[in-house]
Amino acid sequence: MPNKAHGKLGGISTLLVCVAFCCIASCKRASDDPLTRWEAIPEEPTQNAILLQQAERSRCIWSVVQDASTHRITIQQAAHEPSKEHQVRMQTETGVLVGTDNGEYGGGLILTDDKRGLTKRLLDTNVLQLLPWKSGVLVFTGLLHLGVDEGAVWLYSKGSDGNWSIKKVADLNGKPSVISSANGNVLAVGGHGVSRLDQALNLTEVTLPFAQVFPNSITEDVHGRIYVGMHAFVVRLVPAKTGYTHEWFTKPGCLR
Amino acid sequence: MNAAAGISGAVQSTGWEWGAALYKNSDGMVGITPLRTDHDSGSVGVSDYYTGKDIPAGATRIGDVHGHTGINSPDKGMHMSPGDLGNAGTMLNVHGTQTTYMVNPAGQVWKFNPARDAKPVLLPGRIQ
Repeated sequence: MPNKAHGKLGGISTLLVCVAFCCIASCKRASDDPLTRWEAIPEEPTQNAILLQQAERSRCIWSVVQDASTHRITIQQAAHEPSKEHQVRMQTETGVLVGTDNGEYGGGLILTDDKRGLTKRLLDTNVLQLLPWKSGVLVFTGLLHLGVDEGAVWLYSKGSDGNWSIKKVADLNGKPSVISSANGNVLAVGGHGVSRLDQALNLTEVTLPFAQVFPNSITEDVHGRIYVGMHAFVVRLVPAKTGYTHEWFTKPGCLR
Repeated sequence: MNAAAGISGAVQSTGWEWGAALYKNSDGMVGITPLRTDHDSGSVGVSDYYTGKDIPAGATRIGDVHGHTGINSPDKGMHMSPGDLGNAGTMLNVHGTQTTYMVNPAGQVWKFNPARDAKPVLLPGRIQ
């Protein structure tokens, strides 16, 4: 009898351990989802929808951030609009790349090498961001001023002859407002939506009505889900058979 | 001048550029879209993608207006920039004749229509 009772207790214990493990696992899954307690918008807003007009004036400015070591994504409320850099620099084996963005006053990309006393102008357009790439440096350019709205990505790399040069990889759908790298891919977001360059430099563009919501941050988790922070909303793009599905989330009080 | 005054006030209070598109209704009345900003001291977009929704049906876009902050610019924002001049040429090709207005940090208003003007024209007066 004691053995039987012990067996029964053992079974219950095992069951409890299993239940506890499942709870912890599901809790962990829930805590890994940065949008657990957010309200999903049932239908994606279309360009100029009332929701987007409300978002334009919203005091909620959401920023998505990925921890460099854990890759966990968190969402923070920004106190104000992020300030913009007018100059970006990157050391390369040929010298220092200096990119400038002075808005309507222009900008450019210059290669400087103090040791050789070299200064070479590589591009005559506004440079927004420089990102290290396996075969060189990715250079993002763009300008949104009055009726001009353009963006492009370039690759500064060493050719098979050993010489470095810059070539356009792709034109983008308008000027990107934020560019970042995640999972070895590169993401950009602007008023027209999201652009993603994979490791083979294939460009995927997802058109989204972001003209009124001022996207300020973008990242991608280990499952390939893309998160974008902006006024009033966080938008999540989930990989689908073809392209992405789009989910819009907000918090109470952000839309008035 | 009213539009330029509104833009000048918005620029001075925020440190960002603000702008709008100008249009003409079928009855000849001129209108302006709501002011917008990209939270940037050095540019503002007023392309159709950003302002077209505010242009009434049947109206025609005739130009744009924006204000300079003077921040990070070689001439303190006093004159039309290379971007302003380039935009005027682009808009001429896209929309036909277009007039660009710019209000500088001193409250002066410049006007440029590349179909009529050889160079930007400084309008008389100043916004207080």
